[in-house]
Amino acid sequence: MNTIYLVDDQPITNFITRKLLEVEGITSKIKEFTNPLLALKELESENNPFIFLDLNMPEMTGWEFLETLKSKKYCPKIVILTSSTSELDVLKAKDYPCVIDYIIKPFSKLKFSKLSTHLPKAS
Amino acid sequence: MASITNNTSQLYRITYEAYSKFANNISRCTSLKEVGEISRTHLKYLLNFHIIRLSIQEADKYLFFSLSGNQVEYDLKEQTQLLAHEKDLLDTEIPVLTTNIPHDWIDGYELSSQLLEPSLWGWLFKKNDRKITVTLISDKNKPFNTGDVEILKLVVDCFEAKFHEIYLSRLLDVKNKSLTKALKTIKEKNDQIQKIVENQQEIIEDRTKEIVAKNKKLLNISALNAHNVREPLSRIQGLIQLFDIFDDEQIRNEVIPKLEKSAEEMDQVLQEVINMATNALSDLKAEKI
Repeated sequence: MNTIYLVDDQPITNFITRKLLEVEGITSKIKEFTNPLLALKELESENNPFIFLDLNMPEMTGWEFLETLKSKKYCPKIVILTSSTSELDVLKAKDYPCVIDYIIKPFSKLKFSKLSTHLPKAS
Repeated sequence: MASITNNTSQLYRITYEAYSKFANNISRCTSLKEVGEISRTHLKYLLNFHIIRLSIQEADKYLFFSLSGNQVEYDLKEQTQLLAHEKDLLDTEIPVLTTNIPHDWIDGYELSSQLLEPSLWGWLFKKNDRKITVTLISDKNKPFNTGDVEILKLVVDCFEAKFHEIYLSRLLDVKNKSLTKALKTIKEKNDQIQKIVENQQEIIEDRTKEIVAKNKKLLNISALNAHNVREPLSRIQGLIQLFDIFDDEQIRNEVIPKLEKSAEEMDQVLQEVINMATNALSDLKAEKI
């Protein structure tokens, strides 16, 4: 079972995402990070994780996070989960092959169902 | 051998030839100076005179032309320069023949002291609605006869036509000059206007650039604000979804406090956004000045 990373500087957002995932029957281990630097560090020892990534964070932006992974030639499955509605951000996300989806908050059941094919299935 | 004065036909022929020469030469003249030169060399073969003077009205002035020996004078002057007998001629139009010579006038000529019983002849001719007075001073040595009046009339016709032509060409010249000057002024004004227009163009371009820059700034602010406001709002929306999943106790203990916190943060963000927009707007207004 692959571990799911929730990377968002707002703990409440991580809480919401976690609850939604749990309700949808996701039994994978879920790790919450409000500091993306810590998430990066822990990712090193992770085998094929699944990441929900915010863009606007104080320690490190989502883009910087993606660039760091790119420089390490490490490409886990990433879903950008952001409150930004900017078309520019949507376009920019397409430059990163690791990014499999771009979801505008709030995350919801409906948005989850579109994602489900990518997510680690419940056993 | 018979005197030439007795051979009338020969006399006429000679006079005719002299007049043709005179008239041909005059017609080729382009200035009063040239007319004066031709008169000085040719007129003595046509008429006996010590002094001949013509005054011709041109618009509000008079053209005075006089010849005595080698002395040629011409000028365009005011009516006040008319001699007393010329004024009388203009009024009465009656020809004058008198021995009463206006000395203050003829004293200006070199030969006035050598005159022997001089007489003054005066006529008024009308040609093309213009009045021409002719004054002629003759004496015993250079007698003028009534019979010479016909040739005098021809000479005056010739002068009048040429004088008027010269006068008109001068007038044209003056008009051309003033037109050229006006044209130059117009060109200068056009250049000035062109410069003003170019200057305006530059100002407009600068202002447009300024406005585009300001719009971009405002757009950035509004995008940033939208994002900042949406963040706590999306949390609130997300939390509301959890109402369906959680039981009452969980809602009360876990969701409501998070809702309160998110709402509080949203309020904060909104206040910041409003302040930021207000400051940005007043900055932009300040830049305008």
